[in-house]
Amino acid sequence: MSVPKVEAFARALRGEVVTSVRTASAAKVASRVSTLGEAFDDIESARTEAARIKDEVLDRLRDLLLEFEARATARRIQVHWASDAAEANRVVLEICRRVAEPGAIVAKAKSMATEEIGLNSALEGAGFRPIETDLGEYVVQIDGDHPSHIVTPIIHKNRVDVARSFVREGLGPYTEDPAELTMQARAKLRDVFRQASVGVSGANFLIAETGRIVLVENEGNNRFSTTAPRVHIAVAGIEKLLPSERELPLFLKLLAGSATGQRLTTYVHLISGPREANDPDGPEEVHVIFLDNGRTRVLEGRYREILRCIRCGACLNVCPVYRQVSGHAYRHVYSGPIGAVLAPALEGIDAIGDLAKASTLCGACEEVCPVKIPIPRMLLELRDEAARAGLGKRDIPWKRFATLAGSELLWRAGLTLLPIARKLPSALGREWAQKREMPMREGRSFREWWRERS
Amino acid sequence: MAVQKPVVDGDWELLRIRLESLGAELRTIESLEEIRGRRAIWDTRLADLAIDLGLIAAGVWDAEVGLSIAEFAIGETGSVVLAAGPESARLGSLAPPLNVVFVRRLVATLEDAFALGMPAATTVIVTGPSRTADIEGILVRGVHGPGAVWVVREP
Ligand code: SF4
Repeated sequence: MSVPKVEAFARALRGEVVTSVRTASAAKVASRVSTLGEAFDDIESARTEAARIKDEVLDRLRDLLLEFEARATARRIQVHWASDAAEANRVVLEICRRVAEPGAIVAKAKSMATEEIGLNSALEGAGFRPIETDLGEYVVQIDGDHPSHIVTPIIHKNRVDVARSFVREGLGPYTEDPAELTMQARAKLRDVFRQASVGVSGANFLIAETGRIVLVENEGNNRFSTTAPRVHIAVAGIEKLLPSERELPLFLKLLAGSATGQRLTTYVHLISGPREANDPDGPEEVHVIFLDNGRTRVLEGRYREILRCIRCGACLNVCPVYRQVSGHAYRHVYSGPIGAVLAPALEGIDAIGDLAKASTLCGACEEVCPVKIPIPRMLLELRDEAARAGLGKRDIPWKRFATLAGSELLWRAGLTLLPIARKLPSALGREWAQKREMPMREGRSFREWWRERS
Repeated sequence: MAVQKPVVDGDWELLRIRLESLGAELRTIESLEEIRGRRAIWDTRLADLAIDLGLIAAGVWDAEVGLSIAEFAIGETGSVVLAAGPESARLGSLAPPLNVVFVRRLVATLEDAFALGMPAATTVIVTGPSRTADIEGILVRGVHGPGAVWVVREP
């Protein structure tokens, strides 16, 4: 198997991008260590405990999903089931068509699940106006770009890039002051929150015992998007469950410390359902859409532990490959070490990125992962699978790849075409599916059950 | 079943230190003179105080100050716990640039907070001012929510 030259790609990146990604990553790595060190007597045992709880969730997933559905429904939260991206988008559109006028604004809170299903283009195609309200995601959207990090989406841009975009969009006079730029975005997005008919978010945790939706964030756009519009829709992967709120302190501290080096994220929102009769505000409807989109298949296979992921981004920050090439090189909504495994795990081995093969397997990602996902082992297995499927024999067109990922427009076009391209070697995919062993705890029954649900 | 550990009370001095490092403040009730006459939205249980301070009633989107009552505060993290209810608008603690939060009880840790029990209504744990570091990793406060948070210990 040929090992691609990551350097070729790195050279094609703008110098400033490389510098800003490196600096920001290094800072995050440093603050993570000090915060987690203070938060836990023993980080090791905290990580082990978190991994154990997540494994328990995966083992008991069906029961926990049913428990959540029952509790949430009792709270007047409407629960939907979507087996793939198209189904999830359809549910969102049905709700939007029922409650909002054509052309209505949909306030989007930062969410990887909605990136995964391509919700924005579905909404736009149906005549709605989705607007990203997280500062970084907003910049990505107005630039027609793509997030390059799962926590800090514009890590590849500097203040001059943002300033130019804001002038172009008429947000205010040219300034390179990050505080002033932030205030320009604040003013613009306030109007979005006031006008939006529907707010769409992801979910960080869903609590089976209480039926509550837990969202964490620093900016406040998530609170606005889930509070001001008449309807709130949360799109969540089925692995986001936790048995009870007793597990939350551990996970909230691990997530905040690992993601941004904070003791706790600024806002931890525990959503209990729509507004009560006498409440002065809050949404009239709250929906949860459970998204499978390949997850039940992952649950049955050898990459099961990847479903422990809490999307903290720590593995990206420490990864020498990510730091050198930045997130766009992974050509998938999930970038970095987590993306290198999650993309092919969810979508099939033909979605394996060149960077899964390029990983140095230094082990840094596993060392920082708050839920101890054995990413290096999985990358090795993926390489092996790719080689067996004949994918490794293909030469990686590094030069074309570098140009593609280096240009925002081309990158976007590539991403749009990717799902179609992935469907092509279907024989390969089938072969791969047959080869996998099934060390399932809930076994096939979970999948059958899921199919019946959705 | 495991024996529940008793909830430990927090240390107000630690809360002050934590709030300061977050860019928030622990304030005395006297210092609220600073907001006299401002446009504000308040928890209806604070109506007397609002009259005393000559506050002008404003809507969520126009208020300069939002006055809230916390269920309790958490010392270790510098957080306040706010529950939704008929007395207070959820956006009242989010939309105005300054959020003044009244607190009576202080617990030590996040674990204590959950052991004590989170309110059954929609709840938000607020830890300092709204913030972002999206542009070049530089910290900016007050991006969507309040840039200033004052915590006032209720007597
Ligand atoms: S794999 Fe681990 S380190 Fe990476 S984002 Fe997920 S939880 Fe964080």
